[in-house]
Amino acid sequence: MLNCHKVTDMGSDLLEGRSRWAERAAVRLHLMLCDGYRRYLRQLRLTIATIRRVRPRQPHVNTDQVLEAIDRSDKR
Amino acid sequence: MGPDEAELIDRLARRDRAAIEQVVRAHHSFLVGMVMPLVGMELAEDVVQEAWIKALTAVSRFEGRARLRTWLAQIALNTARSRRRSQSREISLEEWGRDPGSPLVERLAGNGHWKDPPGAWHHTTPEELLTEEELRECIEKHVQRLPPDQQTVLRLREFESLELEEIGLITELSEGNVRVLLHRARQKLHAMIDHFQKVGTC
Repeated sequence: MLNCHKVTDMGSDLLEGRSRWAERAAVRLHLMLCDGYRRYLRQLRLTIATIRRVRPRQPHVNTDQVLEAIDRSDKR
Repeated sequence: MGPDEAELIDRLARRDRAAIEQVVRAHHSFLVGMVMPLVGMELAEDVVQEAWIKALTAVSRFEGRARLRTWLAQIALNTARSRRRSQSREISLEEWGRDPGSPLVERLAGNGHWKDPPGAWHHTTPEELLTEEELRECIEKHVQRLPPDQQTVLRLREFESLELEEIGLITELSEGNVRVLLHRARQKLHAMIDHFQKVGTC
C-alpha cells in the first residue's frame, strides 16, 4: 500500500486527472484510511485555486522602445 | 500552425512593420514575465529585446512545428540563460529541472507516514483566504523566491494557463519533469499558507 510520502507526491496529478487508473485506486484506498492525506489534498486544491487568483502584477514594459530597437537593427 | 499564423509569419519574414508591431504588442509582456525568474526584473526587458531581434532575424527559418508564441518563448528563455551564464551564475542553471525532493520530508516519518500532519485551516475558499491582504503579498513574495525552474513552470501554468506540453517545449524539459517541478512549487506554497494559517505571518 502507498504511504503518505508517496501519495503527497502524487497530489497535483491526482487533482488534475493525470494519474493512471491503478494509482487513482491506490490513492482512493489511502484516502479512506488517512485523515492527514484527506486534509492535505483538500488544502492543495485550495492552494492551487488561490495561487491562480493571485496573478502578480504584469511587469511594466515599454513596447515602443522594443519596436525602436528592432527598427534600428533593421537599418544596420 | 493555422493559416492565420502562417500568414503572420510570412509577413514577419518580409519585415512587415504592422505584423512586427502586432506580435511584439501581443507577446512582449508575457516574455518579460517569463524571463524574470532567470535574470531579474531589471534585466528582463533588455533580454527580451535582444530575443526579439534574434527571433525576427531567424523567422524565415521558423518551420511551424510549434506555435509562434512557443518558439518566441524558447528564444527568450535561451537568451536569458546565455545572459545568466555571462554573469557567472551558471551554478543554479546546472540545477535546472532537477527535483529537489519533497518539501514535506521533515513532516513525514521515516516510514513515510505523517509525524506532523497538516493542521486545520480557518478558510475554505480562495476568496476567504485572500481577504487577508498580507497573505496575497506572502504568496507573491514566495513565488519570487522559488528556484528559477519551478518559478518559470508555475508562472506559465498558473498565471498564463499554458498546457504542460507547451511548458515542456519552452523550458526544454520533459512533461514528467514539468509535472514534478510544478508540484514541488505548489507544495512549497501550500507549506507557506499552512504556516500563515498557524501563526498569521509568512
